[in-house]
Amino acid sequence: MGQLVLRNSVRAPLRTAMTVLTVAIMLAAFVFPRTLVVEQDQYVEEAKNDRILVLPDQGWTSVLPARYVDDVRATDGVERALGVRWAGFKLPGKDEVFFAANAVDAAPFVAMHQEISAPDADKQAFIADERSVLVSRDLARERGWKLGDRVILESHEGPGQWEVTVACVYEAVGGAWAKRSLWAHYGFFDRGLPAEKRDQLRLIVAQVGEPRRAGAVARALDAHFDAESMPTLSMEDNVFAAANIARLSSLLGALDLVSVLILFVVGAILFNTLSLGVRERTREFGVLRAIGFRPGQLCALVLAEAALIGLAGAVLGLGLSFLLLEGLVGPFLEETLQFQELTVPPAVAAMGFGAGVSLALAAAIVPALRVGRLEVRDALGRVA
Amino acid sequence: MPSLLTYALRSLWARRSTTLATAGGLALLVFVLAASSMLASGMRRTLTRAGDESRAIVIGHDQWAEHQSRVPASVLGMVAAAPGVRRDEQGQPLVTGEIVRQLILGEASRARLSTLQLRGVDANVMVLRPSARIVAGRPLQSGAAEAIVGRSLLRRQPELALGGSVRLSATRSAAIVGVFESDGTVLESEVWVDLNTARSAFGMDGSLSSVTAWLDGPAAFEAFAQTLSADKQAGLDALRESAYYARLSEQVATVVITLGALQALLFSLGAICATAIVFYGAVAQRRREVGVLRALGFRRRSILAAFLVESVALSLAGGAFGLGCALLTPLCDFQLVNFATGQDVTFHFHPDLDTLWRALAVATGVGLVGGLPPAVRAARLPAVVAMRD
Repeated sequence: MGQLVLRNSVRAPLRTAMTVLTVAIMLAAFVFPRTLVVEQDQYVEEAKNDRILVLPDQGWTSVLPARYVDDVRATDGVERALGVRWAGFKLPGKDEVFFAANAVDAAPFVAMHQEISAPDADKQAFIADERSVLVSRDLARERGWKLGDRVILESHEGPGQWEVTVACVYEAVGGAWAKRSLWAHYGFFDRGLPAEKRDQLRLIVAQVGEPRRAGAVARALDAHFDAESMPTLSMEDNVFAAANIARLSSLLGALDLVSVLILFVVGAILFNTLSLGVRERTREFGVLRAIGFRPGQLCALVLAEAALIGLAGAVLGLGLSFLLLEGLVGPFLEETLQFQELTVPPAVAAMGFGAGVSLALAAAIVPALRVGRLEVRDALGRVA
Repeated sequence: MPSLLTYALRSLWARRSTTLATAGGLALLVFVLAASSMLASGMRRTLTRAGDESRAIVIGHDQWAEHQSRVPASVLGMVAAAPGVRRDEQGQPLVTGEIVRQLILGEASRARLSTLQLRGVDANVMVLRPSARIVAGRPLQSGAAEAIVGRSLLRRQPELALGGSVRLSATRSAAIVGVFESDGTVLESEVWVDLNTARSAFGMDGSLSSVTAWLDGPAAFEAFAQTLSADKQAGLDALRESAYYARLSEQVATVVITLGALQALLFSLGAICATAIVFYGAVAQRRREVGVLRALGFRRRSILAAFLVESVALSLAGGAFGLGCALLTPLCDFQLVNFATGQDVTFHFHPDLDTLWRALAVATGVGLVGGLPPAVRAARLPAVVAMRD
């Protein structure tokens, strides 16, 4: 029986191969938009719920004074807080190389971000030396920087040069924002700027002791700063991530819709090929019935053949997706459009695999039933 | 030959369910291709139509967009005195200084952030931006704490309706007295307030974000820009308004084009394979028919053509359906953050001829490439063998 399935499925080798290829290509077309959608969801899930972001109410281009950080620290429920200043570092003579560079209060920054993974000694070295920087592994590898290297940086924020030591190279764990970044000491950077550029925080990050109180603390912060010259908008890190992603919802919704439509098309194609194959072999099925195969067995035969095609298509399709996303297209998207790193999430891979096999089985139901209902007489009499 | 054409088309009808399934795949391919291309073209349009070749925008040196720029108010006078600036009947130079800021609207639920672009405008704004028209309420009154909102913005933020108010800072808000439209451009996603109101609300005394000037013509720009950038001390960049807006549209349009093209590429390959499968099946089923045709005296070339016509007709039918669906997309708005500025903008799908012919070309191509190998096989069938089977 197993052999019959195998033999049958390679009976029309060209057609089987093309069906498998079609299923594979369409599944890759399914995995690609799904990956983008699921990655954004993951970004929201990974965001921490014990952190609060305090932003200027007037938008990204406004700034907060550094004294706000002390007020945040003094707020009930807040454990630590730090100011983040956009450093806009660039490499002398290489204006085109862009990377995220911020100046922060080193000790609380390292203490509150589990996403920064590095040996403790290196982290301490960064905290201890004001003229040192913390660099992500991706960025260090790209620029060829090693621990202890001295680097000269210039800034889009103002004239001057900052000579720093690479004190710590970290791995970014579960935080896409930290993948290609450099972090300097706030005090050291701020002092190097012209007077009118000093004291300009982009945001304040606070950590709360109890995550479930984060929302209340955020509202308390906003109420406190409402009376000040620059009101704030404070949100839990995960709420902020979700609200930010919501701005892409039209695009993600469209991708979502397309990925679902693809599954219908895959189903239609499989239904096509399988019915074609069954119709052509009506006479054979009649013979099989005549020599004693039961209708149930013939059904199983058709279903098994479909499952085999679906399986092959799914395996090939996933291979193709990995090749596409992680080999060819992914790096292009990451580089030119500054997408976060694209990898096929296991959930999406499983979904694609399941979809391939189950669609093949679903598409085979009607042809299988048709075969099951065949009368020997009709089948043998019928002209294929 | 006409008889073969009918034969081809009737064959499609004879295998309705197979035909439908294949055409469905083609329809999806063309739909995705056309919709993404229409969206990208709509995005470019929304952004670039706000700019004009004969207008110039002056912002701080090295600044990417207006809302990041801050220049002294005296720049207005410098720009007015620059060569090539058009003058009105009274001999006044057509220049206007504006303050542009972005506010974050953390909506009540905070489920969605939205960045609202706010423009502090001078009394002559409607002269400098002739595409803008008040469609409800009235224009701004100089010096009053009033605002007018763009029509696209109003559609997605209904709380900014006429009679409501928009919060500018902790202590200031402006009453909404009018709604304006501007040919569906990005300006319609903005709120406009009086220049002085904006200045005091945002603590920008003595400053402007940008100065816009209407020039004598597109050719007047070179001399205008040279004069302004010659003054290194002032630190100014002069750009053609059209170039400025094109720069702001590039990134977001590229994202949509790239995503659409990638999907369409995969779909095309899939559709080619699917078409080939279906027609190999058709050829196998119709060996006898092909034999009869050959016996009747039809040439191999005609057989080849008949199968190709069939596959192209199929893919065009699917493509036309997909295109039809895509042409319905302009009925919905597409809201997206413009990555280049961080501003939330309402975009529209814009059907253009380019999209139309590209979609039909892809559909035809898929039909031809997918249908060719089976058609060749059919044409090669020896008449006698085909009949005997």
